[in-house]
Amino acid sequence: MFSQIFILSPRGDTIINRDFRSDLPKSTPETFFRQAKTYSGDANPLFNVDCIQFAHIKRGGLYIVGTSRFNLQPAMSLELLDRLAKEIKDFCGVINEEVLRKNFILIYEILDESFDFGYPQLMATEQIKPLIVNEPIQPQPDSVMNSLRPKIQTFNIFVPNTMGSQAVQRSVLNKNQANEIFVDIYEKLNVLFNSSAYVINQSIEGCIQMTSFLQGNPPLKLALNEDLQIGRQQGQYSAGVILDDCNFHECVNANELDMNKTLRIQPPDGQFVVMNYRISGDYAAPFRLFPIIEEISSSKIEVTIKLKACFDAKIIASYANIRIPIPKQTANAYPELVKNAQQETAEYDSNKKIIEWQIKKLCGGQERSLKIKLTLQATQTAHTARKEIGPIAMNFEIPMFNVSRLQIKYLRIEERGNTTNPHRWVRYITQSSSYVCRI
Amino acid sequence: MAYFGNNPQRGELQELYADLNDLNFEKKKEAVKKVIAYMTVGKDVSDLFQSVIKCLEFNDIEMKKLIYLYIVNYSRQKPDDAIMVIQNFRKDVRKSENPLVRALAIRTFGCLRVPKLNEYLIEPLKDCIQDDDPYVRKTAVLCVPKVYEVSPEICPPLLELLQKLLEKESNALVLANLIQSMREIEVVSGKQIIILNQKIIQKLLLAVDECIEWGQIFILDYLATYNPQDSKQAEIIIERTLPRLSHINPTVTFCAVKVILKYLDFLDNGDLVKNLCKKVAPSLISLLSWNQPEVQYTILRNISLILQKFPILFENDVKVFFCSFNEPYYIKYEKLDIMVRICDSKNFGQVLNELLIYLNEADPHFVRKTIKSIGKIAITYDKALDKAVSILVEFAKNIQQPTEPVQELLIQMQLIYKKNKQMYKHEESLKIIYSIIDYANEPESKSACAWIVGEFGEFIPKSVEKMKEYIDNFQMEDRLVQLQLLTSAVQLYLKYPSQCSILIQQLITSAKDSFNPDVRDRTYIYWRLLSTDPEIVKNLVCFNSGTFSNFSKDLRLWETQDLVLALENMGNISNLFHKLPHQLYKNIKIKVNNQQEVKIYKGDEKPESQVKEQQDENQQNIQKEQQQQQDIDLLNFDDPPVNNNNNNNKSNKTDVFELI
Repeated sequence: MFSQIFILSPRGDTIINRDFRSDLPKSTPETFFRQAKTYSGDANPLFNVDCIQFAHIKRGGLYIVGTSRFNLQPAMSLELLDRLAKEIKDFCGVINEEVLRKNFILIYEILDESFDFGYPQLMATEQIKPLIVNEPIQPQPDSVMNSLRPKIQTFNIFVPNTMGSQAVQRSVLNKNQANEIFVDIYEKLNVLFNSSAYVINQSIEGCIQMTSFLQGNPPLKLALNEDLQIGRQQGQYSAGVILDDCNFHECVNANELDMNKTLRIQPPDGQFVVMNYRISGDYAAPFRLFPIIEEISSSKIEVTIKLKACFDAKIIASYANIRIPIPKQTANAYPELVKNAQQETAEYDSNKKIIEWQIKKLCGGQERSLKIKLTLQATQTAHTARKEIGPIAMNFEIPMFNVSRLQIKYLRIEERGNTTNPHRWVRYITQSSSYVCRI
Repeated sequence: MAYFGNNPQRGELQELYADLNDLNFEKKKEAVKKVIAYMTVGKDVSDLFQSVIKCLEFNDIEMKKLIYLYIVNYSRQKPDDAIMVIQNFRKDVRKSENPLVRALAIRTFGCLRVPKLNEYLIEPLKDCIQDDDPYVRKTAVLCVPKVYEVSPEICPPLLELLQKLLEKESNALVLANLIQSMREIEVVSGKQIIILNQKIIQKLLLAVDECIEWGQIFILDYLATYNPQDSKQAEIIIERTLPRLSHINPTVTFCAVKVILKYLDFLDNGDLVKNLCKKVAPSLISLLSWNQPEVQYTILRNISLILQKFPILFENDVKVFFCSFNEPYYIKYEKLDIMVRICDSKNFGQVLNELLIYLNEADPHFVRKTIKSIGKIAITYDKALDKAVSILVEFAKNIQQPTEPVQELLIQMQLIYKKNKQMYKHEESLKIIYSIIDYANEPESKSACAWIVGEFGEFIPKSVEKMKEYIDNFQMEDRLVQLQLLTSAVQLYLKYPSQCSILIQQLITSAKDSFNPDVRDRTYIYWRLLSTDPEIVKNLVCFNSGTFSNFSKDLRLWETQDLVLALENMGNISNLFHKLPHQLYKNIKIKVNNQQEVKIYKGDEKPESQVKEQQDENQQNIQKEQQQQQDIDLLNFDDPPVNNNNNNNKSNKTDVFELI
């Protein structure tokens, strides 16, 4: 397993360097940094230099790197580094250079409990909490560094683009915290339409994610829809919610899921994914796209795209962006919005040959449309060029809405007699993962 | 921030030295922290060793942690000073009430890596392995491989203890560490250390349920190397592993898949095998949908390996591998590859329709790969041939520029024609392909064009003029093209002797003085043959049987004997590169594993013996073909698939060695 774990600043300075096996040269961090800089853009997560295997992730601008001489498992090593980043974040609240430098002793402690001889040991925040003696040092709240801090990326966890949450940047060690728990249901949609708006392929990747600040980590009971069913038989149709497959966090006991649709959860501190699920069956796609292409003359094409929001009028999509690739031989393109269009823009990027149509807010039931007039260069005729239009790709986010109808019926603390009732926050968020219409 | 940046000047070291020896505890602690900070950025603070060690006299755990960190870093530089710490360690291990302190001491002790200190370590380590507290045991167990690496000669009593512990240990976490550390010693020493029995296996299986996720990975990964005694045992192990398939950690799920796939071989019950395959497939698909592209990539790479052994696994799920537009290209390439592998007589239509759409993508490299995949499908599956060819020809109609995909198109069409020579002679397709022949600008595609001109000379217009054009530029061409041109020109000459006689003379004159010995030799051979008896040349060059049944072998990643080893390393990084571990890492010894033949799980399952027979038959066929190919190889009539050839060369070599 790992020989060393080190954390480097964006400039390549060593912030943390823990050597577990002493079987690699001391200069390995420099070797890593030099190699990482040879990539244009982000370096590959895994690469091999002189028989040394490097695995790294980037968090808050920092490189978190594991090295090994052995045939390690790539998925696992990345997961381990990500988990380490999560631990550090749980303890310190955020990950950035300043915080890590201030807390480097604490981080050595965390590393020592998390890894021994390079093998992962205890890696759950609440498991190692009793073994850690150092207190985290919080950075100055008004420091300039903080406001410039890059957004923290997470590995296995969904981050919505528009909905803010106060749960995101808080340390679990903060003692005066509110007794509360956040539950999010995220769904990412994959839909593929053909030119006549018929669905060729669709699926949902969803997860239930919790961020727990509950005092004393009491056991929880989470109830889902009563018509929930797991595993799909071939050719079966049912009115209920059918999940093709799902998996659970270690803290979840799913034995009662089949019987009474409840999960028993022993929540750890901080953020974790309770369950992931996958649905491949038919569902009503929230948006429909109707592209119409007309050849006006041999050098002119007109593309009209209609967008229909097929969900309840009370629900509002927080944004919807549509990208339409147009032929390489385009001389000029004019996207035209409908008259009086509000909170909508359409732009032509002549370098990339793409029309970007951005809609800021869209209520359920509404329709929008865009007309694009294309003029082609003389070298190509409209007939061959029209094949180069598309596929149209769409990005959106709809808060407080989920397609699968998976719902949280209730979330209870199992022990009675707990006087303070914690605050529970539930959010539903639907995002596009790959929402594409072929032409 | 102040800790970093500056060099520890002489003065600073002195200041630290003074602080370390200060009477004030807080001041000492601050000083130790500064020392660690210097150490982290790689500055040498080893001169302070003695002063730092002195601070150990305080019974403060935070201070201890810091100092131990320091000692581990510098013990090898200052082994003599390190001896002074030994007493401290021993005291901590023996006397401390706090299991944290005991574990901390033994963990640090193990990391010293100074051979002469290790003797002092044996006794305390033995105590710790038998400690009452599992936290201490789990730490101590991992110390053994640390010691083994530095001084293996003093370890046998420790190994005995480990084996004893394996029999009686009940804590899952300790068991997981135990397995892992014993495995590591097995790897380092090349000996078998772990001795299993029914009871231990039972215990390991129970431990999987109770363990933290990383422990589960250790145990499952180990179980995947074990060979069960009978079908019953295999069934039990699979049964206990099944719940792991729905674990949220992708590595746990994947290890579970690995265990189950491995044990399928040992099951008697065919229905059970089918059912299990149905359970494994959705889990693998889920791994593809929930994870980051990096993890998906590793899974995809492994799926192409699994598919070689289990072609039935994804029979009905080919849709899962369709590319979505916003995926990174490395994922798309893998998916293309897998689609070709899954493609069979039932779903080829679906796959080809999907590939057809990819041809419109913007990225030329991706389109090229798509064309290659279509070509592969056409060559591998006879039923798909017509549809695939019509897609490619349709694509050829719209070509106006010498782009990258065009090169691949020409190469693939050559291969398709080679395999199905009779079918396409008179086809419309040939004309269309011929019309884009001028767009070839890579050696491989050019040589494909030359082949087409030579082979189908009589069916395409102005083939002689075309050949003249090629020969005029002969000197500028790549060696590959030159070789093909020689053969093709001779073919054409035999078809149109009168028109081509000047042409062939021109060619021979310019080729006979080539700097490349291959080109020169081939020129001379043709020259001599043509001048003696053109009939012989005809037999050689217009060889018409065109057997390409072993094209499908190209889809195999591994030779059968390597497949076992590759499957054992499923999920490891060597598989990411589609290599065997010893090809990638020099420090890994291979266990020679020439046992059972590999069972392949096909759609309509045949009894094993038949499959084997078939394999033998195939083997013979292949050998025959290789023989044939070697005969003709001289004339490079067909490029034989590289795999075979290597193989053959290898066996030839060993023969020679044996003779010597």
